[in-house]
Amino acid sequence: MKTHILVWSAAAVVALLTPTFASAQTKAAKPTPPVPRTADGKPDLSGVWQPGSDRVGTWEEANQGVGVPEPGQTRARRAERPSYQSWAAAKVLESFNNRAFDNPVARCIPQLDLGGTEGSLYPWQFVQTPQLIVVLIESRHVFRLIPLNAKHPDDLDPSYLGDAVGHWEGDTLVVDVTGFKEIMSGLNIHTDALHVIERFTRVDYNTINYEAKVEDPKALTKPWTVHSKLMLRPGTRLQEYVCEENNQDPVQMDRLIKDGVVTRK
Amino acid sequence: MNRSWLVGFAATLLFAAVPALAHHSFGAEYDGNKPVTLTGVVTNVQWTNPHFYFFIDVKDQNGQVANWKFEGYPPTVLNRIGWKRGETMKPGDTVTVFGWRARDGSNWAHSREVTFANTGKKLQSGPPAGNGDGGNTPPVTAP
Repeated sequence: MKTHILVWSAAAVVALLTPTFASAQTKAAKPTPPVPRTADGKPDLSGVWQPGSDRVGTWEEANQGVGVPEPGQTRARRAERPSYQSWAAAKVLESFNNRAFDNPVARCIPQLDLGGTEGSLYPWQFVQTPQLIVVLIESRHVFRLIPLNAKHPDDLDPSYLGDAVGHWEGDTLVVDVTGFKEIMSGLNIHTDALHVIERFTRVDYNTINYEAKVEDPKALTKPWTVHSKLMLRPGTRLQEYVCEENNQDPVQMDRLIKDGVVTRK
Repeated sequence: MNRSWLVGFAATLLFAAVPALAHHSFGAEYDGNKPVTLTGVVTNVQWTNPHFYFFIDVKDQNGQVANWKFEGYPPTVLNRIGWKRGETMKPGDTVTVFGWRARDGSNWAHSREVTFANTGKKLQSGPPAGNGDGGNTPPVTAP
């Protein structure tokens, strides 16, 4: 009896310790490098990143089994619901009742993607210099220029992605975005008073924490925030995505709206 | 325990899902209440942005053939989930497609998953129903 107890106790100890050893060995085999830094000592954000994910690994490893994280279901991205002024809420509701057929992205118009709005389907690439950070975005094949320690130009022409300037606050890249074109269709409307403050912090080798605060005093009753993560994807290459190539959706949607089959009853 | 449940619930309310950006609204063209599974022979593949399209000939019980059009992910996404242009799906291949029908009731649908008869392999081909259309609950309170 005593022998049995001893054997079982030993087995239990081994079973308890095994995962720890296995995990320690895995970690020892694959040590995570520290956050890389540029010559001026700033965190280096260079690389290809998957927004809206929290899984470590290559694109294939991180998205295995679950497929690419589904649009609108990314676990790593949490956004507050915008609180619209009544006139703006009415506009959004109008679009909702027409099943968002008028969303400008259906016409290949880009919108500032706040940390993986498109459900982690498309990678971003950061290219960093001491004076300028460039973000290349596969979806709709657009880029963002973020000059550091610069001012927004006085003669700003409104644009879809806005004008961005950045500066370092410790190890966090803070990006101020303004000068947006007004968007009054679809479910994500905003006026030309839209102002976004983004914060990128590379917290470890594989992870950038992303936060954004969205203000629009002409359309919102208060600012709203979004929290997300960007995960390093070694080996992933950005591909060409020319949205205008074969965009059949606007014609199809316009026809269905005229036929009266889209509007919610 | 109760407290953590409450905190979780509050967080869920605070971070309610906001409309996701997608290339376009699913619901403006397709009906999530009309799932369809069809088997047929591929007649054409358009490997293009912002969506790939493929067409299959589907034979009904009386031997009548109808050509169906399916929409799916763009090539950049397909390339990362196991598809290869000109190899994975070719004219003449027999495939079974799951998706949802277009709102006009024509031979047109949004594809979600394709099974290839020659290999038995199953691949995702498009996003889920409801993507980008706001779902069933208005994203704002009626003013």
